[in-house]
Amino acid sequence: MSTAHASVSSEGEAPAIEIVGVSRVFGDVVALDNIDLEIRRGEVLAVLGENGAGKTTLMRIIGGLDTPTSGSVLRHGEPFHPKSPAEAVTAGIALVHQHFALVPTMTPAEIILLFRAKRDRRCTRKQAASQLQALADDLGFSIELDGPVGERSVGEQQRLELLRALDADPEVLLLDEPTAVLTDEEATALLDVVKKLAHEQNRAVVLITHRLREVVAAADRVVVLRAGVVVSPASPVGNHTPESLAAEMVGSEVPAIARQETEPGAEVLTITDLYAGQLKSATLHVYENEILGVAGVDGNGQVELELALAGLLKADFGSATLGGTNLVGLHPRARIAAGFAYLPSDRYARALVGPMRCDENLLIGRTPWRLDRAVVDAPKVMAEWAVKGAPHHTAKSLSGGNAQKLVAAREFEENTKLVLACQPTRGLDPGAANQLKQRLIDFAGQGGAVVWVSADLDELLETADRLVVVSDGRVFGPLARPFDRAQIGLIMAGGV
Amino acid sequence: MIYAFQADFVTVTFWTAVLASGIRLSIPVATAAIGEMITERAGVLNLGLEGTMICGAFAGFATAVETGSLWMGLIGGFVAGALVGLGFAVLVVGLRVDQVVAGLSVTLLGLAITSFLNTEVYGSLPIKPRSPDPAVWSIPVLRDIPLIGEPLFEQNQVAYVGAALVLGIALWLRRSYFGIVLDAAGEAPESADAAGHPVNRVRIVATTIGAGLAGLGGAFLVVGQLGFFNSNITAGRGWVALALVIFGRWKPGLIVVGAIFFGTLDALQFRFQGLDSAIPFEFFIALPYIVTLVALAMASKVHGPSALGTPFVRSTEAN
Amino acid sequence: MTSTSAATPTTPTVEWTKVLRNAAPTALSILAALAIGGALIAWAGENPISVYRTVITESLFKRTGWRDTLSRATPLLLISLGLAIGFRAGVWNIGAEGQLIAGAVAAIAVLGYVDLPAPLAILVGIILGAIGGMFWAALAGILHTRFGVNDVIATLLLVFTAVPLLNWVVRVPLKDPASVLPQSRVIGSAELPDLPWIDTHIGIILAVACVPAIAWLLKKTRFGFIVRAHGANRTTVYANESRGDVVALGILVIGGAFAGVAGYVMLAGEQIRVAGGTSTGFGFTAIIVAILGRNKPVGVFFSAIGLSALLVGAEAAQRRTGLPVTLMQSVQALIVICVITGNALAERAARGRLKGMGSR
Repeated sequence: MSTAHASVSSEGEAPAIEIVGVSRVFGDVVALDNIDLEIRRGEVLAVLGENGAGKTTLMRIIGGLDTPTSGSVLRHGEPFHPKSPAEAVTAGIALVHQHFALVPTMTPAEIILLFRAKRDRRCTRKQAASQLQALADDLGFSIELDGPVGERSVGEQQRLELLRALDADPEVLLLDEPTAVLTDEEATALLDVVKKLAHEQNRAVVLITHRLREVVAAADRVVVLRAGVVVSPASPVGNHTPESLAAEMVGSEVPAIARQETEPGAEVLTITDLYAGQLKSATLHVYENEILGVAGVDGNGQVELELALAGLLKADFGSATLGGTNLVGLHPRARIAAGFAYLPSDRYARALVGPMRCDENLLIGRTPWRLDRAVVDAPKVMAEWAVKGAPHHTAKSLSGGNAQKLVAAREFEENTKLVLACQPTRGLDPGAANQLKQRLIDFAGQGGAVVWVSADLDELLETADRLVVVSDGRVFGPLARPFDRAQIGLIMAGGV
Repeated sequence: MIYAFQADFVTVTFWTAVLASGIRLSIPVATAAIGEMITERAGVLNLGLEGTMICGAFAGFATAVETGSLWMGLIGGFVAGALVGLGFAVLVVGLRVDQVVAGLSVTLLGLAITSFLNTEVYGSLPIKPRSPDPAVWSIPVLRDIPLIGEPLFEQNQVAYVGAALVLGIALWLRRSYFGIVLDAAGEAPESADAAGHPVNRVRIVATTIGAGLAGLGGAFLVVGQLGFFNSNITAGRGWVALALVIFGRWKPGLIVVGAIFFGTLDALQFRFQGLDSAIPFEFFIALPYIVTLVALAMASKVHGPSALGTPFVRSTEAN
Repeated sequence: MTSTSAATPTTPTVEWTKVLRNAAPTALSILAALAIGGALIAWAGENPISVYRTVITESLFKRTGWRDTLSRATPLLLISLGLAIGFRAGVWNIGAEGQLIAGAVAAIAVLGYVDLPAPLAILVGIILGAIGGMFWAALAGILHTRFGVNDVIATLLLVFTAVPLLNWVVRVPLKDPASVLPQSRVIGSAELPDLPWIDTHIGIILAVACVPAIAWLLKKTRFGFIVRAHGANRTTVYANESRGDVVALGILVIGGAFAGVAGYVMLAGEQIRVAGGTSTGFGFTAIIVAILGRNKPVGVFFSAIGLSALLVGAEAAQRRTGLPVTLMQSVQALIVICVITGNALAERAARGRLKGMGSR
C-alpha cells in the first residue's frame, strides 16, 4: 500500500519533510517509537490519534521545540534538526499551537512583530498592521486590528494565530488541533482555508487532530498514531472509512463505555439566577440519576460557573442549593460535607498540591485537627482507583491520568450527592479517559447527579442525559436526548 | 534654597516651593520605579530595589567625591546598581532561586554593606565630605510662569537629566522592538520562546538595566540633591518605588504621576514638620507611606505581568 | 537519628551520606560568606583571623558572651518562628519590625501605669504584646486580603509608619514626666527575672518552648497542613480546606503576635522602658534567621543562636578594633545569599543533565 500513493501527488520532487525512524523517550515513557512519515507540498496530511498518541511530540520535534532521542528529520533530503522554533521558522516551518501562542495583552500587529524575531526589526507597528490586514483579506478573514487580542473571541484568536504563522510565508504549516476550541461552523470555515493553503498556495499542511470528521472533510492523506506508534501509514483518505479510522485510532484494548438509560430522580442541585463574572443569570436543575452536560466553546462562562460553584469566584448574585444548603459563600469544608465532589478543569491548580505526597493529597479537604487521626487508607484507595504511584510519591510526579484518578479517589465519597466534573478527560489517554467516563456514568446510574462541563461536544453527546449550552455568558437549554448536533452548534455560535 | 515659612501656607510662594522640591524629590523614586517596571515587565520581581538603590547612592557619592565630577557620580551609581542587578538576575533567572528570598537578601546586604563602607571610608574624616553641587539651569521667561514656572524651569541639572531619562525610556519602550520582546517575556514567556526570543537572556538584561536605573535613582538622591551620604539614606524609597510600579499599573506615565505625588507629599512633610501645628510632626513623617498604602489599596485588583515572579523553563514533556 | 542496632548495620551510613550531602553545600556556603567577610575585614585593615577569633570567643566562650547571645537570640527566635510559619505558607510578612514596636508600645501603655503582681504582670505583658503586634499585622493583613495590596509592600510600609508612631508616643502621651529624654516610664513589676545559672531573663524559656510546639503544629496538625499546602498551592486550599482571606490574614496575624511578644520580651527583659530614636533592626534580622533556618523551627533555633552570636561578637570586635557592627550585618546577609546560591547549585548538580534544558 505504501507504493500506491507514491504517484499520487509529487512529480519526482523530494518531500518537504521526511521523518525517518524518529523516537522520543521521556524518562521511561516512550512518546514516539520509530516513526516514519513523509510530508509533501500541495496537500493536507492529517495526523490522527487520541490524547497521548504522540502527535504533539512529533510536531514539537519538527517545529524545533523538542529533539528526538533517535532517528532523523530530513528537509528537502538534507538532515534537519532545528534547535529552536526560530530556526524552524527560518527553514520555512511554522507551528500553530493547540494553546495559543498569542500574548493576550498585545495588539495583533505587535504579535506579528514579536514573531518576526530578528528578521524585521525596522518594521513599525503601523506597517505590520497593514501587512496583516492584507494577509487577512487574502484569506477572507475579518479581523480587528486595534486593542489587545486577549479580549477577542477564541474564533478570532484562532484566525490571528493562523495569520501569525502565515506571516512568515512558511512552506510547511503544522496545525495542532486547530478546531479544538471552535464551534462547528467556525471549524468548517477554518478547514476550507486550510485546504486552500495546501491546494492553491502549494504549501505542505499537517493537520493534527483526534476528530474523524475533520480528517474526512479536509485531509488528502491520513496517518494514524496510537501510543507513539504508526498504526496506519500515511495513505489517501479515500482508502479509509470513518469506522476503520476510529478502530485504528482507539485500538481494541480500550473498552467501550456503556451508558444506561435511567429515569431522573429527585432534584439534587438547584442553581437559581446565578451571576458570576461573565456568567449571566444561570438557572439549572440537576436530578438524581442523571448526567447534565454543559457544552460550549471555552471562555463563554463555563469556568465562571465552575469557580462560582467551587467557591473560588464570588458570585455576584443568585444561589446554588445542594440538598438544602446554599453553596454560594459556603466554607469549602461545609461544601464537601454537603455532598459536593469536584473534579476541576485544572486539577494541578485547584485540586492537588504538587509537592505534597499522594497520601497527603488524599486528605485535602478532609483533614482532622490531629493529622495522625486521619482515617483515609491511602494504599487501599489508590489501589481501588488504579493510581499508578505509591502513597509517598509527590502528586506532581504523577502523570495526567493518574493525577486525575487521585483527585477522583479523594472526591468520590460515601455521602457524595453531586459531582462537578470539569473537562474531566482533558489530557488523559483513552484508557484512563474511558475508565473515568465509566465511573461517572456508573455514579449517575446509582442515584448520583453529575454536572459535566466539557468543551468536547462528542464526549457530551456520548455521555450526557441532558445538555445545556453556554454561549456568551448565558445558559441555553436544557436539551433532551436525542440531541440535535446542528442545533447545538448553532447555539454555541451564538445564533440561539 | 532656604525658604522662610510662616504658619500661613496657603500662599502661591509656598506651593511653588513645595512643588519645586516635590519634583526634585520625585526623581530618584521615579527613576527607580521605571527601572523596576522594566524588570517586572520582563517577569522578574526585584525586591532588592531598596538595597540596589542605596548601593547606587553610595557608589555614586564615592565616585563623585573622588573624581570631583557630578556626572561620573551618576555613572558610578548606574554601574553599581547594574552590577548588583546582574548578580541578582544570575541568582533568580539562572539558578531559579526564590525571587522574594533573593530580593530581601539583596536589600539587607545593600543596607548593611553601604553603611559599613561609608564608616570605613568616610567615617574617620574630621569633616564629612560633600559631593559637588549641581548647577541650577534656569530657563528665562518660562520660569516666570506662576506656580509651575519655578518647579519646572528652574531646577538643578540633575533633575533635568532625570526627567529626560524617564521620558526617554517611556517613549523608547512604547516605540521599540525591545518593548515588545520585554512584554512577551513577562506576559507569555512560552510565546516569546516560540517566537525565537531567548526569554531568560531578555530577563537578565531587563533586570540589569532596571537595577542600574535603581542605582541611578540612588545617585540622583545623594549626588543630585543631598550632597552627603548616611547609612539608610534611601529611607524606604526603594520600597515606595516598588509600590509605585503597582500603583502605576506598569505604565511609565502613571508611575511618574505617582512619583510626583509622593515627592510632593515628601516635600510637604518636611515643611509641616517645621510648623507648630496641633497635629504632631511625626504624623507628617508617616504621611507619605500612609498615602502610598491607601493609594495601593484603591489601585488594587490590577494584575501585573502574568509570569511575574515565575521562572521560565521550557517544558520538555509531551502534552 | 536511628540507633545503630545490629539488625540494620547499613542504615546509619546511608543516613550519614544523606545528611552530609544535604549539609555540605550549606556549610561550604557559610564558609564562603565568612571568607568574603574576611576579605572586607582585611580591606578595613584588620586581621580577619583575629577578628573572627574575637567574635567567637567573646560570644560563645565567655559568660557575658553567652548571656548576651542568648538574650539577643530570644526576640530573634520568637520573631522568626512567626515569620517562618508565614514564609512556609508563602505569605511574606517582612514588617515584623513595626509589629514588634506595636507590641512594646501596647505593653508599656498599660503596664507603665497599672501596678500588678509580678507573675500576673508578665502574663498581661505577653498578652498585650501579642495584641499590639497582631493589630499592626492585621492592618497589613486587611490591606492584603481585602484590598489586594502586595503582602511584602503592605507589611513593610507599615514599618515606616510604626517608627514615627513610636517616636510620638514616647514624646507625648507615654512620656515619663520625670525624664527629659523622650522615653516612657519603666515597666515595673512586669520586668522579666533572670534565670540564675545563665544570667539570662526567662524570656528564653518561652522562646525555646515555642520551637517544639510550632514544629509539632506544623507537622502534625490541620493548621500545619494548611500552612504547608498554602505555601505550595493556595488555590487548592481555598477550594477544599479553608476560605482564602482567612488563611492569609490569620497567618499574618500570627506572625504579628510573635513579633509583638518579642517586643514585650525585649522591653521587659532588657530595655525596661521604651525609647524613641532608631529601630533595633531585630525585625529585619529575623527574616535572615528564618530563611537561613529554612523556615523550620529547629533550623530557626540554630540560626537564631548563630546570628545572635555573630552580632554579639561583632560588638565586642567593635569595642576592640573599631570595626563597625554593620560589617557583621553584611556578613549575615552574605551568609543567606551564599547559602541560597549554594543550595541552588547543589540542586542543579543533582538534577544533572537529565532534564537540564533551561533555555538559552
